[in-house]
Amino acid sequence: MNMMRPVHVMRLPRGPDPHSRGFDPQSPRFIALCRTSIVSSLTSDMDPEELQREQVMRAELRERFLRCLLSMANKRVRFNMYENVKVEATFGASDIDVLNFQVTDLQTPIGIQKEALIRSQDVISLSFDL
Amino acid sequence: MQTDWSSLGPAHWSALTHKHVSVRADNGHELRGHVVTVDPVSASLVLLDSGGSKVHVVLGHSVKQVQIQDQDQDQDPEQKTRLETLFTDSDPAQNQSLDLDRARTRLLDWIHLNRVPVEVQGAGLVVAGGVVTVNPPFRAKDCVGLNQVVLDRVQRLIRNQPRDPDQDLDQDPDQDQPRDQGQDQDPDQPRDQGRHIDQPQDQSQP
Repeated sequence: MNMMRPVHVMRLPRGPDPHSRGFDPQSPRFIALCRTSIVSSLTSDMDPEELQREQVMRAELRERFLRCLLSMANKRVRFNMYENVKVEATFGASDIDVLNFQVTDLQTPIGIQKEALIRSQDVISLSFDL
Repeated sequence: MQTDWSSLGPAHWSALTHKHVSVRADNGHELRGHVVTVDPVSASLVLLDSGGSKVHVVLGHSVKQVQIQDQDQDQDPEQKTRLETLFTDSDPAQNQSLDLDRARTRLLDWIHLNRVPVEVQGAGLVVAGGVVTVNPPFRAKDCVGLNQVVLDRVQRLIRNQPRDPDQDLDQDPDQDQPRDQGQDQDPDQPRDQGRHIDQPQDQSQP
C-alpha cells in the first residue's frame, strides 16, 4: 500500500506592506481594529498652543510606554486573558498599534508553542518582573 | 467616575502619572500600583507594583475603572524620579572628553573608509547630509535618524568597527565578538587525523 504522507503546511499571517513604514491609517486592518480618529480633547475652537501642549503630552506618554515595551523584550511575561486563562511566555515585540504581541516559548495547557502571536483584544493584563 | 477610559485623552492620562491608583479590569481583578505611563495609542496603563519590582500593563480595552488612592499624599520625589527613569538606559556615561574626541575621530575615519559621506557637527557626527546623527559616546544605540535603511547601515558600521588597539576598553555590549574565535585550526588539515586509534584490538581472540 502506498500511503501519501500528509505534509504540514504552515501559513503565516500576511506581513506588513514592505513599501510603507508599517503604519498605514488606510489599511483595512487599522480601520477595523483601531479608532478612526486619535483621542484628543479637540474642539473646533481650540487654540494651536493647547493642541501643541497636548501633542507634547502624548509624545511623552508614548515614549515612556515604548521604553517599557523595550525593557520587556526577552523577559518572561505572564498574560492574564479572558476566561481566566493565564499563560507565560518570553516577550518578543508588540506591533505599532498594540494589536498583537509576538512571543516565544508560550506555555499552554497543551504544550509549549515555540512561536506565537497573541491578540491584544484577548489579553486583559500582562505582568513581568524588573 | 470614568465611563470610557479610552476616550479620556492625554491631558487626563498625563495628570494620572506617578499617582498611586487602583485599577479594576474586565475580569474583576483589581490591580494597585503607581502609574508609570498611559499609552495614548491603546490607552494601556503601565503600573509599578508597590513593592517596586513588578510591572503590570493593563490593556486599554479592558480597563473598567481607575481610582486614585491617597489623593492627598504628597508625591515622594524619590519615587517620582524612580518612575521616570524606570526604563531608561542605565549605562554610566563616559564623560572624558578626550576619549570622546578620539572615539569620534576614529569613527569618522572608519565611516569614510566605507565610502559613506560623514562630517563633524557639534559634539557628534552627521551622516549623509543629516539623515542620521551619531551622538557621543558613539555606540550603536546612539544613532538617531528617520531613515531606517541608513540608520541600520550606520549601526552595522559601528558594530563592525575594528577595536581600538591602543585603548583599554571594557566590553561594550554593542560590539560584535570577533567572528573567528573558535576556528584556529588549519582548514586544510583533516580534523580527525590520528583519532581512530581505538580500534578494538582483540577481535581475533575467541
